[in-house]
Amino acid sequence: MDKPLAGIRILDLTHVWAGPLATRVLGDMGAEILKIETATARGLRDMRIPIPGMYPGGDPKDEFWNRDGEFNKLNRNKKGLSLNLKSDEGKAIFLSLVAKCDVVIENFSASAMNRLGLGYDSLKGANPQIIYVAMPGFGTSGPNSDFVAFGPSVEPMTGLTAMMGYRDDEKYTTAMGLPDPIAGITAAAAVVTAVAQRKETEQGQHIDLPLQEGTINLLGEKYVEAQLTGHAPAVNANRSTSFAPQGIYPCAGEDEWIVIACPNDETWGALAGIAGIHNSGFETVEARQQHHDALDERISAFTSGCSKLELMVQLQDAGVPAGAVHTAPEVLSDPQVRARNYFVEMGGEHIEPSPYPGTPVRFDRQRATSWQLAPKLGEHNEEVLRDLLGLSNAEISRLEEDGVIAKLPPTIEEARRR
Amino acid sequence: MRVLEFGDNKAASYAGRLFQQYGAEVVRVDLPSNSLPNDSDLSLDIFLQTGKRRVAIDYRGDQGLALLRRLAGESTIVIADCLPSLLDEIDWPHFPGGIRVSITPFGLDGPYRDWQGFGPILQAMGGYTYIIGNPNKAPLSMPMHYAEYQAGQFAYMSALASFVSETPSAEIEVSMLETVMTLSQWTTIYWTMQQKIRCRDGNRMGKVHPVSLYRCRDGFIYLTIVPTFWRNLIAMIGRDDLLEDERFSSTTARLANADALDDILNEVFLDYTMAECLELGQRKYRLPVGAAMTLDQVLNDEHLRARHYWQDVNVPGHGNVRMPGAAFRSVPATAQSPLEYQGADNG
Repeated sequence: MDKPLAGIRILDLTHVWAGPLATRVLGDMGAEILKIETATARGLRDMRIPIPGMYPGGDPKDEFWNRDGEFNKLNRNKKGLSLNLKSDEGKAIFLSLVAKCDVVIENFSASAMNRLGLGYDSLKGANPQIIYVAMPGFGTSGPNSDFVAFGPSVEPMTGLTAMMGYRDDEKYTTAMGLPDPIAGITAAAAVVTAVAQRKETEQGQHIDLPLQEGTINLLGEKYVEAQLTGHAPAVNANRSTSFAPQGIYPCAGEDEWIVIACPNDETWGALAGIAGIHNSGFETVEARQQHHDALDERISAFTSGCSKLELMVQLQDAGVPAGAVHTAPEVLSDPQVRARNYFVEMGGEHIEPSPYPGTPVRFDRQRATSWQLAPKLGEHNEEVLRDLLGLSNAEISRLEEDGVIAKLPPTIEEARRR
Repeated sequence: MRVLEFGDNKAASYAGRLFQQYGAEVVRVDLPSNSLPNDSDLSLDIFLQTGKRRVAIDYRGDQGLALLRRLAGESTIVIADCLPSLLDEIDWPHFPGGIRVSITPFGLDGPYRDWQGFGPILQAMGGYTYIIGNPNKAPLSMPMHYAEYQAGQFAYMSALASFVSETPSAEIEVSMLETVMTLSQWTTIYWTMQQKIRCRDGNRMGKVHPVSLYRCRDGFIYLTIVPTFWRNLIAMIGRDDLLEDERFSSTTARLANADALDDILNEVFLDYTMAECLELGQRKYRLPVGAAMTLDQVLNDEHLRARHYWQDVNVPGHGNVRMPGAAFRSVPATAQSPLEYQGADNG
């Protein structure tokens, strides 16, 4: 089965999380991803020094720059070209590649590409139909467009932190930089949209996709509600405005929890029966909302003696929506996850085989196949330059000698030369 | 392009919203309801359904199902977010329509296929919830429809990609649980690489510090001080003495002494307002600082207004409300056309 984006070639300048996630998703759908990297950094890591990363077995070994688990998770199904975009020759090669590609995507700061001389006008000069997707934290225009932006510090600027916590005066963030995975998926959607539009109009475009706006979009109804009611939605911890009871309840063992939600009287009746809670006084959702604290106490008293996994099965079998709060190993070993072969095993000569998150999409009921491990630094230098640009082996060797392309971080290369 | 959407888990409606923004004619099929929506439900309806054509059909009966099938037969893409048991009842594998997209909590097969899954349940089972919140309290769900809307984005892009493909698929399946797992940060990787479980750590990220939420005079700010920014943070707060303090002399030392560092920063930032932190931190010292803006502050933010981010929607009985517009737009950003909200029974 051909994947739907087969034939679409994307130049990927992204780094860290949001951008690489976007191109991973596009690669999963069949787009050819050419990942352009500097030789000095992968993600946020300065490769001139081996700093702690998430290496298999915790061991960076010799090729630590190729063994980081996070990098390998985000960059499968891509080809890797290490190219120095600060050199004139690197820029020229990049623009030659733009002429052979459909999409350029980057998540630098708003002004970085223009400073490199590689802004949209330059790209359009090389390829009038190019689709250019920029993912700056706050967009390419507006008074905050030059703000320094990482996902975690963008998150509070979306209103999410103001709504999230245990109480009004005890606020929490996701502590993971939620704008990144939101922008990543939004960017993938943006690329597909632009590809579809180009098919109709034969025009490329410059798309702007700020982290901040992507996350505000996923909070859309909260903004509508704030205007309809004249006040912000309350900080509600784990409760719902529509369901009752709903919460996260303790289970047997240390730091073991289960989510239970009762969307209607029927599910509440089933939960009350299993938990041995007398239903009198709690028949309606309004009554359950009003006495939520008291209900939570009784539910907690029951769940505290239960295994979260056994209780999840018991409640779901009785029609009560429930889910265990999984730790990472529990996610990997979950029966549903295993039955659907969600995780994908990948490994290579430089990195031990390991399961990586797969894709949530199946086309015609088939799991995607042919997973390719993330490229080693500069792994496809020759292939890309030879096959796409027609460079000779001698020219490619000379580019490597001049530091325009590389396969090793600079200090490692220098050490080996000595 | 005509898109038909139905179901009750918000994901199909978010996908439909994206198709509406793309320019497709989107028809939303609701189940008839006599209950009055509360403020939250009405807000959700305005956000998800504005700009679509709407029709109420009880497709759980033969007559209604026949009508739904006729509408599907006239559609380029059909998106459903029902439980698999209902998809079985309507014979989903043979349902009319160009490209059929199902969005279900756990997928179309496997031992949990018929389980019910709402957002908080999927966040928890997908590994998000365990790492959010206070380590001495219950974990926290995110107060948003994250699994649903992200699954909707996957459904939108998969269907549109298939539509423009030379070999379009007849059926696309999106699992909401797998959507959450696909978007994990360093949770499963931390386990598979090093057999370590990432636990809740409040607002800290755990790998470098100071990366956390701090109280200031009128709210909270978030700092993401990766090593590059450490000196500029010190310059901003005028505490050169910290540069000489052994406890904070390296990335490793700052992580090891995070509590002591947080005590200092929490005290320091009580002298600043959120606005001052942004002005000084972002504009003068080029630091990744964010302010915990209220919804009202975001709605009235000068930056977003300059970018024409909000889209006006006329809601009968309420007047104009501002709603997030498209999450991605062509440059330069221009004002977005106002829309008219129509309730479920006006279709």
